[in-house]
Amino acid sequence: MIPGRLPKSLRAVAAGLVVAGFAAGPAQALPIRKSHATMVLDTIDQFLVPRLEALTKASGGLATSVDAVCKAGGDETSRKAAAAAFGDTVRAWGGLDFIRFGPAMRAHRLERIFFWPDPRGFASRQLNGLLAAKKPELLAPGALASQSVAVQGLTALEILLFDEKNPLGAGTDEAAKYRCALAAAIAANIHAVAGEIHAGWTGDDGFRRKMLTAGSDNALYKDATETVREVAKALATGLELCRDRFVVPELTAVTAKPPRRARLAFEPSGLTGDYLEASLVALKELYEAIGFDAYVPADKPWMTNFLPTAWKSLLADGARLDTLRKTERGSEAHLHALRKMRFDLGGIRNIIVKELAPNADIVMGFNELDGD
Amino acid sequence: MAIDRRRFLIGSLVTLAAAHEALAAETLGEPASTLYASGARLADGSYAVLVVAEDGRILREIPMSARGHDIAIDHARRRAVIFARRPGFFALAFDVDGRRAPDVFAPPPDRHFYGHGVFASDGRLLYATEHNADTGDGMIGVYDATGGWRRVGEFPSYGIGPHEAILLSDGRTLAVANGGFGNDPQTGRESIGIAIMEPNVAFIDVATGALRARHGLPAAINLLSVRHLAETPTGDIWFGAQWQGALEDTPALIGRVGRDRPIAILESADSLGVALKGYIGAVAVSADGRLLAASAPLAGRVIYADTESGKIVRETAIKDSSGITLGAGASEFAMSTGQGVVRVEDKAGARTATFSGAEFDNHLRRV
Repeated sequence: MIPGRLPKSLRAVAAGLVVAGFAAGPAQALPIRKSHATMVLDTIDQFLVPRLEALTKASGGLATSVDAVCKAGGDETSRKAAAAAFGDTVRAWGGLDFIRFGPAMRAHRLERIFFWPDPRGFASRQLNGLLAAKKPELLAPGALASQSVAVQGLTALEILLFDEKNPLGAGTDEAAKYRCALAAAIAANIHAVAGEIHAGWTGDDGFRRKMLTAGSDNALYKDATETVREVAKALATGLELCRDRFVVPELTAVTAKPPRRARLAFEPSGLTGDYLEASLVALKELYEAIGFDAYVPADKPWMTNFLPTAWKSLLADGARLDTLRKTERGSEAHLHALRKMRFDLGGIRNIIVKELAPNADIVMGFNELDGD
Repeated sequence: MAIDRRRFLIGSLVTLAAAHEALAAETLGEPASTLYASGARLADGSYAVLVVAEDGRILREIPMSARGHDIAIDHARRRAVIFARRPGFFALAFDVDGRRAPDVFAPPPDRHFYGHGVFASDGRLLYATEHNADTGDGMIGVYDATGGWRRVGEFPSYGIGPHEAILLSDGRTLAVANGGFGNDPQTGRESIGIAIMEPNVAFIDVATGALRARHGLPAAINLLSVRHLAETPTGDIWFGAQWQGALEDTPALIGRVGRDRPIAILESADSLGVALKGYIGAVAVSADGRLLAASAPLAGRVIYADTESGKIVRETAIKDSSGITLGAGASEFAMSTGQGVVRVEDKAGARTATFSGAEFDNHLRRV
């Protein structure tokens, strides 16, 4: 008898201990069936907290390096260093921005780090307003936090840092100096918000503790079925975001007659692919932290091979998508990669939601998962 | 901004051929049981609008190329229109009794549906909540319901992200729940403008499109997206809302408003905001006007409030239930779930029918 077939009263006890018996060949490690509580614990401690630390470190480097650009008068070396730090931060955030519960949801932190989608160019317009007004008080530490979320994060900083016609820090007039100082203030703000999210998770009364102490006296989560659902929903959300932010808009645009250009995240910095790839890699890690592989239904053993193949294909296509876009946009190879990614993203998501999660007693109902 | 909707429309037109087949197979006899309609996902992953009987029969299954949301009902003419969910690029009009083939129509290229609409009281026009993708403004699209579903006009919804709109019992005033945020059709359903949300309930004269009254929320709870509405016989408008902020900050989710009365959040529900996971899926008022029912699918509950006192009077535990509508009795409600269940209940008891393989979508309507 496998744990999934145990009476419910015994299943919770067994789930944390028993090794599933249906995995392929004896040479392979057998996947462990984690309990809900262990899934949440591993997600937080093995996936989330290390990534929050990495984001805090990367954004700290970004704040330092953008400040250095202004101090160095915008020399190329300093700008390259800032651009590299920007890339590090974008990649770090790509692995976290689908975690849409907990501290990132407070005080608009999600949008303050990355304001997207921005179909009407809100960030650019608001930024121009600030540059025109040149208010010195906005450069004070913490002052940007009270401004529009559109000018506080990566979207706004990218506009300033990757403007080839107007290299950051290069001018000596007041406007150029203010522009650079504003960029430094934005980078510092990103670091501050990243720090708030990190502290919000890991502090004494942080969200980590709230999630790990689900119970009748916990106002947010009554038991581990509720906390594990948050974690599993984040995985489904992340897969949808990759599809809806990158793959579908690009596929729709290149197959339009005549073809159009889709406006994708982080195009000015050339980090579109990096961001997507970072998200995909993180989603795979989250999938592993939850331990979903152990919950392939016994009557659907084909999934045991399908899932790793789909993940592998997804990561490979994600890694080469940027190159395909740049060198052969609209080619058969490009279209094939996009269609395959759409298929894999949808397939993995659907298997998680409709097969693995129910088999792990994680309820993600049709309306519950995506209501309106 | 032109929205690419080819795949949605083509898909819907293709599936209409299948719908003709389905219609031909139907028996057109008058069913004895109370009937309900809802969008649904079927076992094969496809989407359809279903007309089901309380006794467990599926009377009609009309395929759709994408997920539907709510259904506008023209009871007098036994017809209905289901709107594609946000961002929706088609609507499907169908005869409740299957006597005519369905029609598909679409919003203009720079608009999309938000999933809700309502017929004019004489059935000649249909009002749909829409998004102007160029400006981000909420709109009410006006469609000719006498034939062809041509779009004949529009007026503002007087807010961002209009969701449910109901025609009040005066037959002239449209109450619109402006949820407060929009989305970019290019990127699908991802919310935009959360930080600048200003949700409201707007009262609009449908004859002129003029704003008669508009009531917003206190700034402290402006992340409370007002989504769904129901009117009592005494003219109170009850609403259910969805919190867009952190779970621990969730306020009460149910409130009352009138054309000449500002929004009042249901005080006794204060502690329920977090417990209901910040989300009300739909609301309905009983035929006798005494009870409000609100579904909370994230919490697996339907709660009932006394419309006089505003107190929560009872609740039903039911998994993944979002659709809620009037049952046949004076204080009866019917609720639908993502597990294919339709449960009809009042204080005295409940009857349940299960439609195997169907996952009912957010809204259920009695037809």
